Amino acid sequence: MNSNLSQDHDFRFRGKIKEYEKTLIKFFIDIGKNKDTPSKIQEILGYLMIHNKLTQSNLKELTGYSTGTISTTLSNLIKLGVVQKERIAMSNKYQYLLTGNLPQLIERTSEVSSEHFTIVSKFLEDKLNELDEFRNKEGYLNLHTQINVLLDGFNKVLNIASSMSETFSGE
Amino acid sequence: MKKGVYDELDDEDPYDLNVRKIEKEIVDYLIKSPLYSTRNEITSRILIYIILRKEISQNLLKNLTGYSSGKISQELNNLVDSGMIIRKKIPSIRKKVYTFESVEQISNTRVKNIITVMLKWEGELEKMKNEMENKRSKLETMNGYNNIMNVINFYIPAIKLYEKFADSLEIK
Repeated sequence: MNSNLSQDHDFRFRGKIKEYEKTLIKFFIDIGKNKDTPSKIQEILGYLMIHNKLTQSNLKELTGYSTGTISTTLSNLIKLGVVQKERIAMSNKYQYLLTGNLPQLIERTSEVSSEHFTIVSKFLEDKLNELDEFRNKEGYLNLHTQINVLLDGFNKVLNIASSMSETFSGE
Repeated sequence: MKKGVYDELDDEDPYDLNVRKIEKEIVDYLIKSPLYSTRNEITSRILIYIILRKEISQNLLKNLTGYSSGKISQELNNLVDSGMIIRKKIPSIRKKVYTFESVEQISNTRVKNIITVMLKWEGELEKMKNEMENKRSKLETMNGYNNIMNVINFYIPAIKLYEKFADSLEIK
């Protein structure tokens, strides 16, 4: 049986199960509010967690968001390493899935964040050099100091992420 | 007039234009980076400016970001309420400024707030699980029963792990 057809038939829950699904999505959105993550991202992550694999059109029907919003959000989540896409056999369509379970996601996010922190740190160091050209100008000293505060903070936050990853993988 | 420590709290930004340009490039770059791209842009932009200025007034934030006073006020209130930033009154100039303790503290507070929400939901998830088990004969043939049950069975122990993590950070 074509897995695409199977996917299209299976993603609509009904009755009490639909109610439970809605409650879980509220749970994901509520968590998102406290980590500055927009509802649309939490909804998409939530539906992927519940359904395991979904196409963009499945997500569009479930969430009501536009194709553009879903596409951009999935693209950002792929860059962050928490979502991957795979081609549906015998089709030109793709389906999207989380890159692992919660401990694996935390570990992956920690690794990817570390990679991005390295890139961001390099950018900030370049900006510090650029800033040196204006060392006698108003605002130089404060911005120079605060860029270093940010760099130092990033390293400490990375340690927190790594420690969280260890807590989960230790179980 | 000699410049004082709180001059930058005025509506007019005292920063040199070149310095301000570099600052804006940093803010724009961070917002677009994958580290922030899954977060609320307005909140992130305000938070990054607070970090880069150390202390900043609402009016200056308005000038730098272009957001409306209402939007900025709402975001600042949320950030203060969540414990990530601090509102400080400067009596000598009758102004309020927004500041922060440390980048690490902002991150810890965010984790703490997420865990608080999870703990609030723990009972609800357990209630849902019990109901699904009690009505298993009626519900388990319905499409999605196992999907929902898997997520619940996954999160209930995960919440306990988050608690353990919070304990290790001593941030509860």
